[in-house]
Amino acid sequence: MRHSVRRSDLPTWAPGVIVALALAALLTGCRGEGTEDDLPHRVQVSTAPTPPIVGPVRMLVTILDEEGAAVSGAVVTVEGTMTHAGMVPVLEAAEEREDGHYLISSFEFAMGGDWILTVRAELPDGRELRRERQVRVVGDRP
Amino acid sequence: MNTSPQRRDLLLLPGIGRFLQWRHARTSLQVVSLGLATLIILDGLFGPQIAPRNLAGTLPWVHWRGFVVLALLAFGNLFCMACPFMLPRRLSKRFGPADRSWPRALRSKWPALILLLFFFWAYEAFSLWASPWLTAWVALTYFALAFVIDGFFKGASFCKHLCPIGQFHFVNSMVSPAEVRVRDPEVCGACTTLDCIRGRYEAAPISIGDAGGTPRLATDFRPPPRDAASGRAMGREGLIQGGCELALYQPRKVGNGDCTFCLECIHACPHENVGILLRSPLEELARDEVRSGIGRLARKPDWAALATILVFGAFMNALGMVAPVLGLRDRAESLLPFLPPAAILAGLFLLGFVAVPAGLLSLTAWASSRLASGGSQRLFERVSTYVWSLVPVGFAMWTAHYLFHFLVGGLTIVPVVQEYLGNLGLPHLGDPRWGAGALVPESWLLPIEGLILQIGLLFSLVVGFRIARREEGNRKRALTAFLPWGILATLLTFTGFWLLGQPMEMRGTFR
Repeated sequence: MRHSVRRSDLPTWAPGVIVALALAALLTGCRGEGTEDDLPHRVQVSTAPTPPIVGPVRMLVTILDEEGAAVSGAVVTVEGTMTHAGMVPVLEAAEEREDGHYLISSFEFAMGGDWILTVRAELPDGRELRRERQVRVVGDRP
Repeated sequence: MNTSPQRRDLLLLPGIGRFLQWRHARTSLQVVSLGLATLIILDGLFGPQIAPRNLAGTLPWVHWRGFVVLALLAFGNLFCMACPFMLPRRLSKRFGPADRSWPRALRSKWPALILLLFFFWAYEAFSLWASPWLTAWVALTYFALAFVIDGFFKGASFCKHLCPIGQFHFVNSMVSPAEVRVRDPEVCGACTTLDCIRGRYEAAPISIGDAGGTPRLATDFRPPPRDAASGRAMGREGLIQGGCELALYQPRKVGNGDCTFCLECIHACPHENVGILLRSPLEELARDEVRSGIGRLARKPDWAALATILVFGAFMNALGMVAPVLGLRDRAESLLPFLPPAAILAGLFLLGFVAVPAGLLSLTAWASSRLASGGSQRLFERVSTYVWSLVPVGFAMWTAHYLFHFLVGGLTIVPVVQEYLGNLGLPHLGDPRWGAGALVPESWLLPIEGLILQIGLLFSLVVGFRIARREEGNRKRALTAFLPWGILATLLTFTGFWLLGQPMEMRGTFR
């Protein structure tokens, strides 16, 4: 004996549930785009002390092109944002000290914890570079 | 002091009273919160994935939590009143069957308690505050659960038995200064229609009203249709105004437990005998009569467990943000490298949410029992009776914690909205001003938090002593019965002070 499900056998709410599940499946694939550029350059960020502590920290940013040569003449800024909302970001401009090496003499980490450093650089040829680095800040304000 | 009903009823205040009496007051609040929830979901799914730059990272974890505790302090359960999850739920009530009774075995707070514990664990294990994407999914899951559960089951099953946020509000609104309750109990004594719980049904064409069939009296309204077998009221056919969906019968309703401030009873009562009355925040926790829809709190282990989890959860939630505790977690992870961090966290949670509270409450109840009545009362009964005295201390800790984030980062919403609109091609509010942050100077934070904790302790001591007077009768015995509970409340408060004095570390995101 052959059984088949007729349309009238389905509860009235079933189509809605199926549509909602399909929508949910589609949404799981959605996520905001990453904000990094796709330039071939490499960006190195180092701090003194390492790991960084709460309070003022020296920060050195180095930009290397695809051949590994330091890029000079860029305008570099670093923005520090905590992973927890509600903390004011720290925004500092870096000064070029030697070819391709940019220094922030005092980058003030306001609180211990996980920070995202966003390095932005306007390269001499006008292209814009944007990279993110994760750092964990330790200790209390000295 | 003037205690006339006119003075104490928020519905009779000019402006706000008129708004609250408006039939669509709740819906209008829900529309606003639904709009905000939609923005959170959209930005969480599609926006930048750095929490402080995203509405999903900022609005729920900084602003909403701050508003929640302020609303509970100043008014009552405003969140449930404006709950955004209720609008889609109304649709599910209309189009879904919504005809099944909630399973008898699940008619308690235990399912909600398990969800609450799971949420606390997930908050830490997945660093929900740091992930706009996950935050958006938490909101979407909430919408889906409310929609599906209440589309299948009668009444407000989701709110009463499952919603973790609702349980937070039900317990902590017990110290709120406002309560939905009857204005004059004598009027209820003469009421025969019970519209506040049954709802009001459309008038029968042939009734004892006037010649045109227009009902004049409450008794002119047709009672709800009844199931032939059980005799119980059933169905929504002909319903023009719902009654309480959480089974709180107004004349026997006590306090804010399980009350979502939906105002249905206010609109349903044909005698206009239900109001939002002001009261002492110390009043409810010391009462132990039978509560409609709940029972006696001192005889309800699920409610006692809920209060315990929310009191100790306040401290556990804050502990996850201070350096010494995070260091301890790091050490546990290095000592047990074969276990995933989430499992270690679950172990620490079992310790902090179950083992430590169970040990402390048992010890305190034992001491209280021995001192007062020579150990005649069962330990569990004493815990269920007195644990309510700790609710103000727990709520004070939640308030201090959530207000810290709100006061430190209240203005960060300005640049986040600027950036959100800018990303949509609407730069009318200008470039984001990322320097905007604190609502008060940093030096004010510790004194504000300390004051909140002290007030919480004071409330706990007063409530604890009132419970003891109620239970023991004799003043001297009451004092000895109360003493261990007072000491526990004081210890918890000192833990709060210690927490506030620790260096904060907001982490857990990077591994």
